[in-house]
Amino acid sequence: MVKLLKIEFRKMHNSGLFLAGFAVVTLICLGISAIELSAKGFGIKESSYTDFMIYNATFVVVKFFAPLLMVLLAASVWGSEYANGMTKTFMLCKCSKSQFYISKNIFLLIMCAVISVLSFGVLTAVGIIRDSAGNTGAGDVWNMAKVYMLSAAGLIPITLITVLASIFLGDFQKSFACGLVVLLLSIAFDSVGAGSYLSPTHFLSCSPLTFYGTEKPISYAVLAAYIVILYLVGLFSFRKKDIWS
Amino acid sequence: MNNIIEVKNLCKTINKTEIINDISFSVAKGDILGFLGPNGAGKSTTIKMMLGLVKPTKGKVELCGYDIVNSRAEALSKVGAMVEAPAFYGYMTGYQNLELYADLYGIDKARIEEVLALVHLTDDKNKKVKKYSLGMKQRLGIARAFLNKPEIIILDEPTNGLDPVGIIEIRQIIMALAESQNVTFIICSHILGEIAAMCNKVIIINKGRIVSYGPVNELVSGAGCNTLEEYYIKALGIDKIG
Repeated sequence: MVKLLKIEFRKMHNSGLFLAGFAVVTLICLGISAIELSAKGFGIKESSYTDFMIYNATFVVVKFFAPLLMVLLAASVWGSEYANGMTKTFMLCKCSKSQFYISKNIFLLIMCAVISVLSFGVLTAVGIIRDSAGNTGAGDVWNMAKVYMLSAAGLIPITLITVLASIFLGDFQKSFACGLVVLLLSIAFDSVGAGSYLSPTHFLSCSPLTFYGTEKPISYAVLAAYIVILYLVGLFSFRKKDIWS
Repeated sequence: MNNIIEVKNLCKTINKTEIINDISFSVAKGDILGFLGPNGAGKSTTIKMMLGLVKPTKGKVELCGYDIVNSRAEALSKVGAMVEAPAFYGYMTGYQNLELYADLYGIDKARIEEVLALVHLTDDKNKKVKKYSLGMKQRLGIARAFLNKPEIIILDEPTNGLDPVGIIEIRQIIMALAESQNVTFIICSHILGEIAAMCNKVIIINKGRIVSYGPVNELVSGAGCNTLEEYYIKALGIDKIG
């Protein structure tokens, strides 16, 4: 399985996607920061690091751009490889379907973490630079990191939904479209209010303030249930599915 | 005689339609078996079931004594295959593509050079695959099938896209490997002349059933035919090919 995981990273490296992904995440974060800094009257122009992270740039990234990137990556890693026959080719090698499925999903999980850490790093740097009082401490960054990463856990269900769509549809475009539709509907559902914790992207959408004690324990259970169920349904479907092309 | 491939009562039903109906055959070590049949006869489906890509509705396939469904990894560790058009990462070179599989099998890099030389791709190994011609991709697919020194090699239309010289070269490689290393081959092809020149046994399949199975010479002479093409027409009960 480690060998399969290495193959995923090598493919990513050789395709230039690592560099492209790094550039995209960094530029999005810097772009959003720049817009936020220059737009008077847009949002709440707080000067402290914590306020900047909570009210302004960060959650635009976490709520929309990071899941969009993950939907794109999941559709590419699964849907595109189904369509171009690479899944079939790897299935002719001495690896089990479960190993193949697990290694690809571990890769996607690592990429979720990389995107989250990278975007957090860039936004934190901007946040500290613009902190006019200059009193941002390590404790502030650590607290924000915990909240940010908890929000980013919401990337996992939408990634797994796209994986599942890819397994069933076996095509990049359809899988990406499916992931995107679920993402947009889910974000819309998040704004409904009551019962929004049932949406797969609830953690991405909810305000970071809710993590400071007001978030219902049920929402954590719902997130865990989404991850476990989607993962197992994906594994079962992939093991059962015939690979024709 | 040791049978390295055992196919028993293989069936595949999709939406209540029987695609493959009770196919059984065995292949001995060192045999070169030709797999023939018209389009839609069930050749590719049978090959895909033999390689564990498609699950049989009924029946069993054993490769080197391992059941393909229950011991998939063990069975496929001794198999090299190219099914339909070979797929590669276009943004990687031919060498890098093979390197992925070499790493998966824990194969020495020298073996990559060896198989590339075997299919005459050494000079083009550092070219990106997206710049390869169809014939070069076909050769690279064959190189990948040979990479893990398999005991069984299954090739679906291996000479697709190759020029006449390339076809003869691939034929010579297949025959040499079968003779010197006792490698067993199953070759699907529409080119009956190629099958006649290479294979010692043949299976003709039509509408999901085996129509004919046995040594090429015995089948052809036993039916009073002069060529495999003549026998093929007779076995399928058709007027002519094409």
